[in-house]
Amino acid sequence: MMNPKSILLLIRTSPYQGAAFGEALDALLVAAAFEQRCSLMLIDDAVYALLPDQDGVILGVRTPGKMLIALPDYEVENLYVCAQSLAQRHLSDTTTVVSVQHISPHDQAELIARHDVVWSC
Amino acid sequence: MIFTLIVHSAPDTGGGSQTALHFARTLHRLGHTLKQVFFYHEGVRNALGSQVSPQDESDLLSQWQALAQSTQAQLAVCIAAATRRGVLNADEADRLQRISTLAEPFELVGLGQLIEATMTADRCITFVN
Amino acid sequence: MNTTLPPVDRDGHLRELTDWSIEVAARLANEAGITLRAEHWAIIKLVRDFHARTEVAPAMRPLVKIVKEKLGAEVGNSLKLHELFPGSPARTIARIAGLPRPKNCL
Repeated sequence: MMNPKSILLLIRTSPYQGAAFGEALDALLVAAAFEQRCSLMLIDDAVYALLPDQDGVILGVRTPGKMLIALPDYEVENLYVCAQSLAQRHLSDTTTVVSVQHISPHDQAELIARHDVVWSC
Repeated sequence: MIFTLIVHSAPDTGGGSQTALHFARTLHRLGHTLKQVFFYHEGVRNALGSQVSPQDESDLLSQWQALAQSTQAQLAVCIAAATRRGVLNADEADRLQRISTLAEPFELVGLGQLIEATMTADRCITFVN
Repeated sequence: MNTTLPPVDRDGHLRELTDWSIEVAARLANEAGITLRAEHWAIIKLVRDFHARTEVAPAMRPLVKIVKEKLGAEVGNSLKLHELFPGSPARTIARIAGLPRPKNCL
């Protein structure tokens, strides 16, 4: 086995806009299952996935917010959310389905620079 | 340097596929190694063998085919993302009782291949839009 | 054991996850050469609960973790899971528990 890499997945799309959000998480879960050091950051409309009590069944699609709950069991090390994206949507104080670290846009640049690989969608 | 490119954009939306092709050809010309192009999300539509571009637009499919030939890069298509968008190879078409639509030399692969390509590349670049 | 098996896909997973029942699970286990005992059922229930909460069929690494957390280290280890669900435990459990195939391999 080669040395694991640190992978940061940036998701910016809304959880129900096409299949992108769920597919991006699928890739991260596989990377985590392959013992890479994985982190996730939600930006823009992707932050809506953090709101509780969602069910994609009504739309006939998956519920990305539920998949987020699995991340700690996959040892996905860090879950970040863009503080500005939350504030713009009046969600700064909202309850989230999984605990997340709020990151300012300024600190995001440093975070991105720190990872071996950045995936985005 | 060894590069892996990830393509998320469909051939007919955004410019990501064309940009990825330009980038890939430039890498090759500068002596870098292009190991794999991984098609994910809407990007899997690049592998549709049944697409025909209008005569006054660039033919991305044949450009990918030429790229694979000149660089020996693998054109890997995520099987799960491809299946839901109707991009099937002969085996999958047979199994699901549909028609085969995957162009040569694209290959349907599991997500594990993306992880492997990411681990073994020095740089991993995503083309989103 | 006369339950007819609902339609399954190429890998033996149920086509319609709602077709799952305890009888169906026993049938699916039988086809894998497994007779389900209390130890198996505890894990099946755990994995079904996990999927209901997360929509994820767990791969091996998280599987070991959640079994260890809920049922203890004697069951929550790779060796024991291989013994209870031979082959690839994550896949075998997902199949018997009526979940999709874990997305970590072709």
